[in-house]
Amino acid sequence: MHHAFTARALLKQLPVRIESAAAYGDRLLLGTATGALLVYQVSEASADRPAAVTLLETKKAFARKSVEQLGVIKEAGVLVCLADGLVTLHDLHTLSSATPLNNTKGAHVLALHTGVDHIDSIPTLVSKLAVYAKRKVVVLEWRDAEFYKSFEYASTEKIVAMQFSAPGLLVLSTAREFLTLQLPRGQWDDLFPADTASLRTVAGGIAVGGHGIDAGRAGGETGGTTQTAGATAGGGMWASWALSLSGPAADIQPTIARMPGEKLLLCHKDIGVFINAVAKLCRNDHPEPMVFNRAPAGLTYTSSYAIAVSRDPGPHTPGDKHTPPRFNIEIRNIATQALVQTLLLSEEEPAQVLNGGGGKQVWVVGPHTVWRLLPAPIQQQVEVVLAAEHYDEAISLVAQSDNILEAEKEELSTKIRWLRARWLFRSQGRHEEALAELSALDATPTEAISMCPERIAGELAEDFSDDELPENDADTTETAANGAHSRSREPLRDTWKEALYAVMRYLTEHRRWLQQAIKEGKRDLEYTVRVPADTDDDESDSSYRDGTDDAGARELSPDLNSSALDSVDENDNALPRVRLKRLAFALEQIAIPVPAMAQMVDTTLLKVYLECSPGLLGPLLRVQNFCDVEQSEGLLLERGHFLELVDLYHGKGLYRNALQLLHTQGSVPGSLHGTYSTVRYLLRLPADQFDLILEYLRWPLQCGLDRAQGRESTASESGSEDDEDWPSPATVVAMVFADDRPAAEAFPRPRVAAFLRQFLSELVVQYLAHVVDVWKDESTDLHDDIIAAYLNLISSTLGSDVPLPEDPARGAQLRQQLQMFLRSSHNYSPERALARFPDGHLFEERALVLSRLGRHEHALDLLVFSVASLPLAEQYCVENVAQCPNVFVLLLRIIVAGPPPADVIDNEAEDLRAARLVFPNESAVPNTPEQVEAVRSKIHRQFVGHLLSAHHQFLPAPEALPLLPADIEFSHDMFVYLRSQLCSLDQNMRTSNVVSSLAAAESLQAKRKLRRMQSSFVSVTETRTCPHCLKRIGSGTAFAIIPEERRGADSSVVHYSCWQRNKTSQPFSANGHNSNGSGLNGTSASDDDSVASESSLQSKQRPTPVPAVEIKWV
Amino acid sequence: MYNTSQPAQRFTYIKAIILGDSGVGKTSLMHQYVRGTFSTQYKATIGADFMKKVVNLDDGRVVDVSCWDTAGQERFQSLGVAFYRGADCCILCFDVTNPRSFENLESWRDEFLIQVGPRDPESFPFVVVGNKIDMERKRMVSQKRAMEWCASKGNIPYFEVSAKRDINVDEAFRTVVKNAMDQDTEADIYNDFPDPIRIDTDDQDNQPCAC
Repeated sequence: MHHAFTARALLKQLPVRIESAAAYGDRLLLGTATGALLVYQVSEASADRPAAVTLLETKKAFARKSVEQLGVIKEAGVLVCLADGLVTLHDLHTLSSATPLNNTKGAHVLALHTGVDHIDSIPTLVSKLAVYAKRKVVVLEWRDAEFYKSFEYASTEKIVAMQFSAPGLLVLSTAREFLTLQLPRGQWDDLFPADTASLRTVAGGIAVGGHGIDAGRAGGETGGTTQTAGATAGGGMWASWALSLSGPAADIQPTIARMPGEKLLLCHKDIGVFINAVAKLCRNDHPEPMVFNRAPAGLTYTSSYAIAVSRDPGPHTPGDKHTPPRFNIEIRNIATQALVQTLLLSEEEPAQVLNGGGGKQVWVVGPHTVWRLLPAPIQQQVEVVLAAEHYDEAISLVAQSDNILEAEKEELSTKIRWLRARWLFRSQGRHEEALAELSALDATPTEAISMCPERIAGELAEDFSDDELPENDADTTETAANGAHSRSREPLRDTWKEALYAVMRYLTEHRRWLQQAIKEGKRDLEYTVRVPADTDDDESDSSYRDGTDDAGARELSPDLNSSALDSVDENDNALPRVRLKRLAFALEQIAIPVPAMAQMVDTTLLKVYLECSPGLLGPLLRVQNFCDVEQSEGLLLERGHFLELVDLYHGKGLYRNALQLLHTQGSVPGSLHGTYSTVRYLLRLPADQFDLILEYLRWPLQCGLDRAQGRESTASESGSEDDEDWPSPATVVAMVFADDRPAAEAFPRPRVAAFLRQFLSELVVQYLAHVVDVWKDESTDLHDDIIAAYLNLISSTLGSDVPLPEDPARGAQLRQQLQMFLRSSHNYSPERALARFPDGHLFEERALVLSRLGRHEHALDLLVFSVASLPLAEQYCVENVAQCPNVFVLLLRIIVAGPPPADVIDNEAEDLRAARLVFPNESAVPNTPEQVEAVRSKIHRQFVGHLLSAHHQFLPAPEALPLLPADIEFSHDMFVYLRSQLCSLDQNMRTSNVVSSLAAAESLQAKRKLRRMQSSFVSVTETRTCPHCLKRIGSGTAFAIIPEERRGADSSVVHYSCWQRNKTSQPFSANGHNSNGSGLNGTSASDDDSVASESSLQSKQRPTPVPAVEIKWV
Repeated sequence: MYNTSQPAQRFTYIKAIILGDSGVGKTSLMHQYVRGTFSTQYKATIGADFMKKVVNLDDGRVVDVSCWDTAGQERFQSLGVAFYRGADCCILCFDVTNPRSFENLESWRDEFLIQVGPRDPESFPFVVVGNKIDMERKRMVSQKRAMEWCASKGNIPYFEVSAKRDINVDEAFRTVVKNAMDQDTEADIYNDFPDPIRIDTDDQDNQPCAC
């Protein structure tokens, strides 16, 4: 309920009784009971004066009796007057020259219609007048303002109301039913019964309750033969109307009223149904019948309202609150059928209601008073409806309103939808719907965000009281109902949870759009933004009325009672005034930079996740996002979401912050306690953050070392409390460096090695072994580094004075690894490795390196005397004999020569030990140096024998024999050696003989071939032609001879140039020039023979292996 | 919540979404699973594809599984919200011969979770599928690495499959469907029912007889 109209009595206490009225353009015509016609000019309200009417003319003897009905056909310039049961036509402008229609005697109902019709496909302005008189319907037709024809249709029943539904369809009503009459055919059809029950049934309405206030409804259903209202308005801008004046206390008859949009409202008592231009029910637009509180005696419409006049305002019982208010004007929204306003105009009956001026003016005509209903500006009406939170009503209001520009209408309804969305979200709990509406309006996401509580919306959060109703509304009945909403707006946590889920989905959707915009490279996106109107504009906009400075202007109260009792006489000059509070904003399309919006959306999404779904924080922060770092940081810290904070830092490239946080959190108990999280995080860093990785790896490594030492010292009591959180250095290296991540592979390896060297050589070895084995790194430096690391490790096991129990085994294992490396790797620098070896140790490894350098003599010397392992020396020779065939001779020479004198003294003890190790079963254990020497030389002599017998093939006698000492005994080994030497010499000789014979034979063959070649010839005679160009081969040309096996026929001699041209293309035999025909290729041998005999060239050719013989003559 | 006395009568709908980089074999997996066919021709999926299969679970439940196959190039931007809405489970695919496709799993998973916005993201039923194990010689992503990742994401089940040779495909789908069923609440099932059609509202549409 709101105050849509203000009734103003423009004519009061007229001395004559008004019986009928008509309005067109700016004229108002009143017909009186005495037969006079009053013509008024209507002036609209403007800034300095209110709406008024001015008497222009009075036609005293317009009709002989009371003017019962007036009608205007403006297009034809005709005024239709029904008086004394007869219709007369007058000139509209002069109001004279009456033309009585004699066939309308006894008429009491008339209807008018004007519209554009296509007659013979020419658009023609057709006006029609229908009159019911004495069981017939007379229809007069004007075409383009010229009278065309009149028709008559017999009617069997008494018509009480009629109205044109379309130019060719007349809808009529008897007291009992509604009928249609098709023009000009005259076909009658029944529509439906005209009683309340039937109307309810046909409209499909399940009994509508709530609206009906049945008190004081007048009259029965039968009887009454008096006139019934039948207001008519022409379509379009040329409105005209007609109505019949009701008799006193008439019973309610069926009523037919024109409604906007080519519709008719068929009404009986308090029920009305809408039909369209072809007399079908408008079920889509009006699923339920219109139910009036009072049975309307007259009906009309303006804009979005149906206005009904009833006879009886209801019983007058002042002071009784339970009695329904009294009124006789009822205004309803046509689309929603909601009651908008009721007015009690006068105790005397307002008899008729009509519209004019193109449906814009609404007049209520009583016997002595004429009121005009003045609509409040639509914005104000909307404002009031909105105040009552009737958003749907407001939308419908605007949609139907016709006194507003189309563009403004659009804007206004958008604004209402906007407000409605906010209302749905805030106080109705319909969050999804609200947000979907905002999306549909292209609303900026900040609008939705701002409706969230402050912890989500941050600085965008709105003051909740901002939207509250004005204080003076608080005690009205309408808002009392909504007061519950206002109070419950304090959001409950449960409902907010649901709201946040809705917001989450909403923001996710926006996020996707933003991402797409970013992908497409858009700089900014258009959003609809709510802009508060500045207050000055607001005032002037909303102050359309009798005076902007009217201090007494009061806030409009939508209260039903007060507005209903607004006696027009009392408040004639004071239109209620509404401050546009809710609508005091504008919606503008504003381009907002994508990054800014993305930041807003993402940051808010983060807050929402924090609130209702923390599990999604990680995903959001890990993917590309625009969260505001500072804000998010604070929030995440506050809630203790450290892991997500790390993700945030990482996503923003703030790796150092992330690591620092992990470091801090690692030292205190919590989910991130320990170094493991740091190590795991380091794995995520790209290779270019290498320095940072090293910086923050120091801590976990050191912790690992410390813990390892701590554990050793405190034995195993506090063994593995949380080893998971504190990975060992070896594990760390395996994870960070020796990993198959691409980043790990891209690290600068020397720097990694150098870094690890600061902690433990084992780590260097571990890392470099991975580098070499898995990544096949071939850089010399790294290979050197690994040797150095091994040496460090080995020397640490050797160097300690009190070796730990596991050291010897560990040392042996390391040496084995080192030896394997030295053997397998080809990339280290032997010189550098050699320089690194410690003095007096690692002779075997040294020997391996020396072998790389080709210094076999030195290597063997070490093996024989320093290591004192003859099998090793032998093994060495076997390994290296491929590169150096002489290596066994070298070994022999070294052994025979004996140790250098200094060595004997230096390595006495070593020698002794070695001797025992090498020959453990030697019975005589030497004790003195002499004995040792004796044992040694004995062993060496035996070994010389072994060498000679086992490796005789690598010890040629000429070199080996001179080396042998003179006193060497002629043992079995020696015998074996000499025999095999002799055998091999003999074998060599035989081999040489065979080779020599073969070579001689080859030489012989070559000579024979040469002779054969030299003996072949061809004769070139005067007639000899080249088979290619068929020209003579004369002197002075170069020619070629094709050898027999490549020749097809007798084409043995060709020009050299022809041969050159053809040799690449195809074999000569196939080129088709041979006169002997083709197809002989398979028998080329015999063919060749026959060619030779046939030709006169006396060629004596033999097959030769050479490809061609060429002879050039100059 | 399932009536075991008449298991065959109870149909449940599961929406499974297959995600992964372009060319990892999402469409092939789906075709292998639903139809048991494989084509060696590569044809990039445009937009999204959709197939259905009725699965009998071991415990007698019958599930109507609809597989939604995405275009790998698309990422998430241009696929409508309808694509993700109501997803019950997700199959994350990578190609064991393509390390990049494995590294991208994380962002596929994250983006998916953001878009779907499940109430309990930690226990949303995922399954990770390493495809193309028939090309063992070209393998670049070790089983160990994949399993480590799955373990770090809340023990997502991991399957090494080959859509070409039909190795493990059915097992992977079966697992994720089963997990989705165990997750499913009654509310989700009821949400799938369309609004009831009211018969009584439309019976007066015909013009009543005027007599």
